[in-house]
Amino acid sequence: MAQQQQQGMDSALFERRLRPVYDNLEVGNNRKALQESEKLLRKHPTLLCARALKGLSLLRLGRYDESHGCLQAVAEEKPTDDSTLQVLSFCYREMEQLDKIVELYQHAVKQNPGNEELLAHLFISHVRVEDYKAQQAVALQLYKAQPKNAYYFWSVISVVFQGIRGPESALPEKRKIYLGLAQRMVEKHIKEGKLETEQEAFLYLHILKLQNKYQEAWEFLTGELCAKLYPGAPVSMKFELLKELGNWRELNELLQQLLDADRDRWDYYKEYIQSSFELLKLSPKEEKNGEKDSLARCQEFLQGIIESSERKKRGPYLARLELHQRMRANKLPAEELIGDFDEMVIEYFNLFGDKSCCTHDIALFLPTISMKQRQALASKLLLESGVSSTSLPQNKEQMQKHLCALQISRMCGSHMELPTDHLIAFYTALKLHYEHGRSTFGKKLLATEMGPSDAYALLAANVMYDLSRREHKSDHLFEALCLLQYVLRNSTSNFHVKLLSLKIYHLFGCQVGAQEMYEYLDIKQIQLDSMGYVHCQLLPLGGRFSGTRTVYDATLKFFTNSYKERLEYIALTYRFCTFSKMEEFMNFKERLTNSLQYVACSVEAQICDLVSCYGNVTQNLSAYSAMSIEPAEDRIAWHELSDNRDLDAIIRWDPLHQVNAAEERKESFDQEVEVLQVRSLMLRLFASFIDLYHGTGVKDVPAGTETATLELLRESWTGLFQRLRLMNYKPLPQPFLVNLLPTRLHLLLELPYERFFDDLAQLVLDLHSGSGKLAEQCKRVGDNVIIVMDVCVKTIAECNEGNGKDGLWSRREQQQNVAASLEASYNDILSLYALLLSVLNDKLQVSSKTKTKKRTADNKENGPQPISEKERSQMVQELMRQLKHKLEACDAAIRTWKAPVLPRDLSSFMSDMSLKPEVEATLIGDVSATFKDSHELMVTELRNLLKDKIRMAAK
Amino acid sequence: MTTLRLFQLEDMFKFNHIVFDPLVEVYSLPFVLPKILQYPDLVLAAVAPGDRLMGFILGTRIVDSKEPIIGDGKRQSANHGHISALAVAPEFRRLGLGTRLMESMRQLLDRYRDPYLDLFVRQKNLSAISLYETLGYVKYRWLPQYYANDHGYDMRLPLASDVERRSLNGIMRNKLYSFGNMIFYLLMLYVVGIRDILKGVTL
Repeated sequence: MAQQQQQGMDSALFERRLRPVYDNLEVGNNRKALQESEKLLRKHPTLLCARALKGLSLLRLGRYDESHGCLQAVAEEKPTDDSTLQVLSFCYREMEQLDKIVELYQHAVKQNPGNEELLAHLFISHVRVEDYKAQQAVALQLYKAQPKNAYYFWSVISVVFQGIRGPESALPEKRKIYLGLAQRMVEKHIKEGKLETEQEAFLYLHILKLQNKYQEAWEFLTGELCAKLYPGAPVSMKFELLKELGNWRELNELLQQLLDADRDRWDYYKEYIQSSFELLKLSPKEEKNGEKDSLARCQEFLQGIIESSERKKRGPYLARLELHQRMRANKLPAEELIGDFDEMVIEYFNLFGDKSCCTHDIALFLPTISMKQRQALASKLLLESGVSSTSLPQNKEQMQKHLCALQISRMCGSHMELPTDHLIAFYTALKLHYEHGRSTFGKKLLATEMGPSDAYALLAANVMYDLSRREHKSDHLFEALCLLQYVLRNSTSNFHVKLLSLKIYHLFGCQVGAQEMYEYLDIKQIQLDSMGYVHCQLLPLGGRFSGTRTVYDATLKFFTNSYKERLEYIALTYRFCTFSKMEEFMNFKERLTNSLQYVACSVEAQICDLVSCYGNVTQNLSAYSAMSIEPAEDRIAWHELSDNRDLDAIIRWDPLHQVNAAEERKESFDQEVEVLQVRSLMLRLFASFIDLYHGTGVKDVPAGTETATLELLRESWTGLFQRLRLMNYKPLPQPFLVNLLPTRLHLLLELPYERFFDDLAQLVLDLHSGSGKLAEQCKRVGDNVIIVMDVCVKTIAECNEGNGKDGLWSRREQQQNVAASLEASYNDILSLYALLLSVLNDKLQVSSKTKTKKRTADNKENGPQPISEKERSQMVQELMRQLKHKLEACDAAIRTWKAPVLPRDLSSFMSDMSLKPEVEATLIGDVSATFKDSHELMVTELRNLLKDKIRMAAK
Repeated sequence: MTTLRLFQLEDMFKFNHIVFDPLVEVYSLPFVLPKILQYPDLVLAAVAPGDRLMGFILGTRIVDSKEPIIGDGKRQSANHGHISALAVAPEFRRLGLGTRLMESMRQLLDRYRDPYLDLFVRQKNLSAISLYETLGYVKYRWLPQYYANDHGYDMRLPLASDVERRSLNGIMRNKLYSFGNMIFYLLMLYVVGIRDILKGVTL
């Protein structure tokens, strides 16, 4: 106590002395920070803050054990001064030991009851661990100590969260009690006239809505107090309540007023039309009394807006189409009341066809009309655009209209039925239109703008994919790729072109090109989560381990940073008292931390590291233990994995009746999760092999159960494959260019993954126990290696052979076997195998020299004589010899692997465009060079990898 | 045809077709989250029928001094509004959406009685500058090398509570200063440029 007082007196002095430590920590000079803190401690050995800072410096230097001891000692002193507490809680946050922070502040508060600052910290520490009950108690203490509104509402929201998010929220009666309590708490405050802010009013409304007390919410929302405190309450809140209350007439009138003032609000129109339908249900008989029914009034109102608006806005026109659509859905006479649907669409097209959003707008109404009507409408629009097969657009507006009509006709399925030669002619026309538009309307394009006619080329690429798919040949798609690359030279910022090129490169297994496009897209921050799927999931198939690791690193860096910071933002919402965002933020945070992209990237990155291990056994093992894989522990929250992919970023105009984006998303997500299951289990299984020989944890386990984890994982491994086969997943179909690429699931099932690792597990077990069947098992594993090698050599041969016909398409066709499996998966298998053998060998050699006698003596008692360590060691060496031999064969095969032969007849594919021959030549040359580079780089990397493994096996 | 609503955090998973534009900044979460969490009502999204995001505006308030300024007996806020981002997806341009979002922001900040709104814009972003100018914004300062690859402008719009447009005071001084800055910048470019060329020769 005396020492603490002294500290208080000299705090300014100590502050100055501590400064250099802080400064060094800030700039990341941790070693110097440690020295400074030690220097300070020599003078003032009891200065708590200096000790805490020493702990932090040690933590930053990675000296965890020392740091832990140091921090523990400080915490046991139960510090109360702010700076020490701050440093300690910072350390605990870094180590994710959030409950320790709670303890820390609990002690501090106990010694200084009623201290606002400390209580606030205690509150936030409860927030971090989401302990709502404790939050509530602390908030009330805070309010008692310092009657600020914020604290009062901290306790209210804590009660609300106990009702809707806490452990008791699943029980309806508990939920009711908590929400009722929260409501009474706010009402008490209102009665005392203490409600002050917008967010407090929001919270009250929210509490009422959570309890379905809509009438009370309505009264509060339209009352005086709310008008004063919360003038900015979104008008949509009113709609929502009126809808819940079934007060359709008032809603209808309110919306008419709103629409009169603001005629382009889709949210208003949508609710307005719905309320009109609801009114019709309420009083269907009005018509008979000679009055107009609500739909007729709705139509009249919309018509009125259309006629009285001077500047044409899309709103009322789209609303009229929506009314038409909904009347038809309800089997009501839409034609009679509003008019002919096609004519209305054509009118819309004529008014707004020159805006690029017109396609999107019209597409909204296509699904409700028949296929026949769709195609007829599409032809009418093409006619209406005024551009025929023999003419060119006269101005930018006409060109946009033409584009819109073409996009709509693709969406209506008109292109799918064209014969091949028509489609080729269509492609040529699109190419010409692109070039014409570019040279006529796109001359003064800024580097940051998209070209006005780029959409022609995008459409052309889609058409070429259809053709390629129809003919199972790559020429067309390759040509499309060249065209896209040409477009990209002209409009460097068109991300659609980059995304489509990326996709095509991946289809062809050309990783260098894909990487180039990925970098060109400049995907960053949260995009790494939502857009990473275009590239990351395909990387493990590319066989380029170093490049892959870089991409993963960038992605993982984003995630780990956000993960660390996530709790501080929640604390922020409490500090700002923005109750309206708390739940939203918690959901957002959960989506981010449970992102499939995040989890999959971390697992793949670990596998990637293991596969590319190249050092000696000691180095490899220390690299392995730095990864801290816990085989016994499944760290993935499988049921909470979140699909954050933004599939709508790429623009598409594929036939609406053949696209089911939601289903495709679900199917692909499910499969990706299964892939992750296989990969993470493989990683854990493999880790359990190594841990059995080199693990640290194994020593604590009672004798005889060392292999428990391994056996359990092995069971899960075979069980998983059994289940996957039963699930009978279908590969994702690829009807269109923009569809998601197939997942690796089928590849994993087709390759001998299951058997290889299962047999390997047996081998490891037998080696461990010295079972009599060891020799047999060695043979089995050896056979597996031969199988893997054979497939590897065979696919390369097939690939080289296929080159004679069509280098690229076959590559895509056999992607699973060639570009994909051989490069990565086989190497996965073999590389991991090599690593394991080298580890086993190392261990066995050591033990065969030193422990042979002791071990055999121990084991004599249990049954048959196990094989001696020496023999085991010899067997492993034999396996390694075989592996080395096979790897050399593999290397030889890869050496013969030829680069893909590109389609030949391309040299003049752009001859009908106004391109200079040298531009054309460099264009095709560049794309071809990318393919060649990609192949060569892949071969080099693979051979380097093999070289490392051969060296490993040769030891 | 738009739905205007508050920007939701989940929108960040769906806004790629907007932020792929090279002139749109993709901010880091530590930059953007505190803003959204502090002033959620100043961050708006425009949504098309069919729920595709059309654009968004990220507004916030910046504290200028702790004490509210009391002038002419009328209370004026000591904060000012700031627009960190305005973005519209390419396919929804030329519909007046930018203007709409900017006007909504102006109305919101008028309610806070802030004296002015400001924003930073790339010098290259000509269409944005002309939009802001038609909305009444004035180039207040020139910001040399504000962006990694471009200069910028600080543009200001006096709001309703700033009747005498005091927030534009000092614009002349800024212009002179900017001019000096520009001269200095060109000079530096010249010097550094020469040095680079010399280096090239010696190599």
